[in-house]
Amino acid sequence: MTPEPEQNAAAHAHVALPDPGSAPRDGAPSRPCIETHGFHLYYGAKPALKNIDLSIPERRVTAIIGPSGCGKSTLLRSFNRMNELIDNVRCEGRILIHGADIHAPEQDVASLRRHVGMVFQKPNPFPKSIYENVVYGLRIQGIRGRRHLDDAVEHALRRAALWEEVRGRLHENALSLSGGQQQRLVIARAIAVAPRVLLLDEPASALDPISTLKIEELIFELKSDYTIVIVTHNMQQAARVSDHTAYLYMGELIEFNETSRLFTQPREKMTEDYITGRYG
Amino acid sequence: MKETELSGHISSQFDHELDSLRGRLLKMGGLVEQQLSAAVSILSEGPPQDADHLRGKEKQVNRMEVSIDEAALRLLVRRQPAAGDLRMLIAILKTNTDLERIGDEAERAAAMATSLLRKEHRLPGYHVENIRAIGAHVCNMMAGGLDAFARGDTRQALEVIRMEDKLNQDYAALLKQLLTYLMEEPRHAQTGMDSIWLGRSLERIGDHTCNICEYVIYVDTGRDVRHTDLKTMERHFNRDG
Repeated sequence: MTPEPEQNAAAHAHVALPDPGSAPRDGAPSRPCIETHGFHLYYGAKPALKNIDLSIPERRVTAIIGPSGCGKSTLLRSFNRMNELIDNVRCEGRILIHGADIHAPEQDVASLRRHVGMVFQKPNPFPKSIYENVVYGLRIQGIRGRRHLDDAVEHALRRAALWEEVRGRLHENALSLSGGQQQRLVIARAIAVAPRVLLLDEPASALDPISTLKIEELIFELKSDYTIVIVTHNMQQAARVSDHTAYLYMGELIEFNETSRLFTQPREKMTEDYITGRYG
Repeated sequence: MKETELSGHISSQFDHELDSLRGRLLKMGGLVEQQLSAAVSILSEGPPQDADHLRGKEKQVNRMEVSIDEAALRLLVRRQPAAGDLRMLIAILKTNTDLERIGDEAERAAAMATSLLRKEHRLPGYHVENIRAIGAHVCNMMAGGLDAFARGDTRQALEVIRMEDKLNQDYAALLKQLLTYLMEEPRHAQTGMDSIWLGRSLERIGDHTCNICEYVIYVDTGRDVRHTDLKTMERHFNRDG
């Protein structure tokens, strides 16, 4: 699904989520960032997610895997209420981000999406310059200062490991970039508005192996600052990049475990069947 | 994960490759078992008529070790296995190494046993009998270990590991006896030393067999029980049920 520009961009409102505080030390147990409690989601009468209880740790990478149609992307989109853009969607249960209920009446959806950025399978830069892509969300927030915007562009592009490749052509059209560069630009655009959570929906599935490795390297670099949730069909990718993995099947959370454990010694037979290619 | 019956892979070719690899490893295990049995029987039946045949087995085992490693690496690269499949491949690679070493020790044991029988001064019969008893015990361990691997049977693997206690006790007693023999018969030190080396090879084969049994437990339960004492293993086993 290709989002409208507004979906990736920043919001006008500033109802902030609670401050998560400082980053946990390497190896230290991480606090929960996203928690779901008895979460159900229905497309019309059809249940797409059933009673999901999940606690996604802060500043770690969590992968969501499962067969097509199991609800991976639906769960991901639930974390910034993107599903509400679809007709006939209804949900029950709670999703908390840093302890705040994202469905609370006082929660501003645009603000939520600024704090919970999203990157999609197909790179979707706007048909504008590289520079304008990165500052898109900041301009919507009303930030106008040239120097501030320049600094933000450099910072975001550096964090997205793209600065060295594009620093001399910031005003060229973003569509002139390669697919891998476009995807990193989209990540730069997402992090320019200083989100706390990055949701990545199959971010490398349309990319060649080298561009995929660059995205994976980037994910590793970014996890010190952001909580990252990635949906992937590529189990080796989940094993490479994530600290925790959730396995979904037909809308149910079958297993949530440390990635190293899930891929060597899964708790559930259904997980074993899926990751060893026996499912079906 | 608690071991349960797993159905075949969606890729039947993967099933075939994995089964074929396990089959080749078990065939190599059979050859090594024959090497061990031939080495132990030298003590009761004398040197084999066809020593070249035994040496041929050793070379065959070495070739199989290399080809099994190659096939396992190919499977790792091509299939990128996970969970039980990954544990099985790791166990195959490690068992392959242990089996080749058992083959080496069996060859050494056969050489020592042959050397003992060719000496003018024969080792006293009760020492020979003790070594033969250790050899028979190790043969039983080896048969049990390979059977446990073939069936993926953790219970049987634990049984074999339990047998190591008796092996260690018998080996320690043999060493004491042979040291006394060396002190009493210094002129026949070479006979004593050959006997010690023979006992040592049998004891090492027991160790390698226990390693294989530990891999069986790892494949079945996902639990790495290396360097774990028997009581702890049994406690884990009872808990995993």
